[in-house]
Amino acid sequence: MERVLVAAAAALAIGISALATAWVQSRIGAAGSGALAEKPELRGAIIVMLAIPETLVILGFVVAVLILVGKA
Amino acid sequence: MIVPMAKLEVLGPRRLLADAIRFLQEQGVVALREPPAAGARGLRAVAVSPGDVARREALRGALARISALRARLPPANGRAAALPDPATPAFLAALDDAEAQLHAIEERRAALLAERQSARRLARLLRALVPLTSETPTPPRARAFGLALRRERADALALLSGELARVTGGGGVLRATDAGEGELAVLLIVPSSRARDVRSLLFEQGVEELQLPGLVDTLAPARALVALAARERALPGEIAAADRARDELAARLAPSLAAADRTARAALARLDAAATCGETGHAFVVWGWAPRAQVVALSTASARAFAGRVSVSEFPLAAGEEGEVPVVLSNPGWLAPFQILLALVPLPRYGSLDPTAWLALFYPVFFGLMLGDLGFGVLAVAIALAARWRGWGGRLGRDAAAVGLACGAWAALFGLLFGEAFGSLGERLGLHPLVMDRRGAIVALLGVALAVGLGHLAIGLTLGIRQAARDGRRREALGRAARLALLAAAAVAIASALEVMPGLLVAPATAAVLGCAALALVAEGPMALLEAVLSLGNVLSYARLMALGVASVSLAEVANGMPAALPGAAGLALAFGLHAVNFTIGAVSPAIAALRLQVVEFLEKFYCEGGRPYRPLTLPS
Repeated sequence: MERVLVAAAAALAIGISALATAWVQSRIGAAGSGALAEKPELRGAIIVMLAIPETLVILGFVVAVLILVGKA
Repeated sequence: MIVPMAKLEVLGPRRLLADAIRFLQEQGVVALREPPAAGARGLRAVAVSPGDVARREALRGALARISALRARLPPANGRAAALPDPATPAFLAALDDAEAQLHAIEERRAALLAERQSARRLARLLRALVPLTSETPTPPRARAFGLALRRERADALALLSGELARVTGGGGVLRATDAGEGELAVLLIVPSSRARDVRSLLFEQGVEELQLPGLVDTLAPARALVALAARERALPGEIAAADRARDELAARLAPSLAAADRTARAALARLDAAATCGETGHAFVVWGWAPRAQVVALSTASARAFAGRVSVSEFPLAAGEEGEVPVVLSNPGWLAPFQILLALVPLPRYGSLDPTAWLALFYPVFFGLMLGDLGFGVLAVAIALAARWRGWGGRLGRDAAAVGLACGAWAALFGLLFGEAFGSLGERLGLHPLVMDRRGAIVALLGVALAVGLGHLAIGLTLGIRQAARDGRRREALGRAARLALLAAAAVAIASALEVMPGLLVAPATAAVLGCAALALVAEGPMALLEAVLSLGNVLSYARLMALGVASVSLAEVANGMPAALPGAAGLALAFGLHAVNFTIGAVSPAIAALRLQVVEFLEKFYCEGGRPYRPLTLPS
């Protein structure tokens, strides 16, 4: 049972943060596409802005790994 | 490196202003600047005469017409024939003549293309009608109509038949056959006395009556078919002749139009440049910027061209003028490709630091640390070399290939250190981890990633301290130094708490954190604490160095397990596919993540943006 809970905790850590990242990047991507249609020169800046929310899922991944490694 | 620029004034007799501007344009090194706010007494902006305004409008109109004409002509190389001045009526007359010639050729070509399409269709319909005319010959005092009907309107045949019987009193004959491409060919034979009524009926019903071209309209269908076939064979030759005529026109005109375009742009640039100059009753002044290394050559050339009557003088930069100086980045050949990484941020302010060298140092290392695979690294190097050799993407592609080469090399090196080649496949090749096994030492790798981040940010903050001190912003320099010390003390405190460092360091390190926070508060105000917290978050952001690396290794492990899970060709194919996916993700994700770390975390600590692009007055290419 404990292993199930540990696995579930790790899954929640990465899953929720991945969902959050996906939601944020969908908003940024949609806004960025609109901006690109008018100003193609913003391409590079928009790519970087898309990468900024990745911190959420990366930290979630780190937490998940720490949960799994800690219990292992 | 930011190229040192000189603030110049070009001074000479008023009557030589136009010649001086033309001279500066030919030299192509002076970027004009706005006149100073407080000028000398009697100095005024060069007046724009009505003649100049008219000439500017004429040049703009000529440029628009030249662009439109060039867009319609195919590209052609050759010697440019001399054309009149683009702002003169003679040039416009030459353009009118050229446009008329091109229009005639285009009309002829369009007519030939339309005739070809129409002839094909008519031939198809006639081929369907000829058997009908053979089976149903037209009797004397009768008129035959050939019709085309869309197959979707096949139900209209019954309606048409009924109307035909009404109009002709039952004296008409209607036969239809499939003509291909969704059409029916219909043969209609009616008494000649009813021909006009039938034509009106067809018009009212919207039924298309076949109209044969003048060449064949008097022939019988079979002979018309033969004539149409002959015409179809002749049309490609006539179209080719029209294309040749257009190409010959392009060969004559395109080089001349290109030269006229350059002449017009150069003249327009000179007119715009004159508007930024100053004058007195007897003299003119041109204000500008030029690379300091070019000033002596410019001055010598000016003395030679104007026999010393026009002088080029350099003046020192006034306080606060750095924001107006145009910026040119110049780096050695091996470093210059990394300037493309700066394309995401505005140019650095003149007098600040060009971060290209730091990007060239850290970007490939971070990429390599995340990808960390000997096989993928070698593959990346091979692709980069191929791209450079084949010249893919022009100059940008060459620079990207150079960056890719460095990134691939570092990925291969880290692959050796981690003992990875396409994941665990390296073990079978005799590879063993020299530093750490990323698959097992995840926490240690996280520690390394955060330590790298701390070091990277420390370098950024140090550069920021130096920049602020150099600019005379002492409080800002002190605040940054306090934040740097706070970060270091926090790192020591955490390491001590986790027993990575001696536990007795916790207390002094914590005290140091509080002290540095207080110092930062004094130096930069309440925002300093927020900046400090953000800096801690910046350090955590470097966890992606671990995360992306572990993700890449894990995916490679899954790929290597495919042949065991699915024996045979299917398992091998799946393994190959997963490795290909891993390589693609491994090329894109670390590239973007490493770039983000440079632009968001690193540059934010010291980068001073606000540089103006260097746009010298030069002849158009």
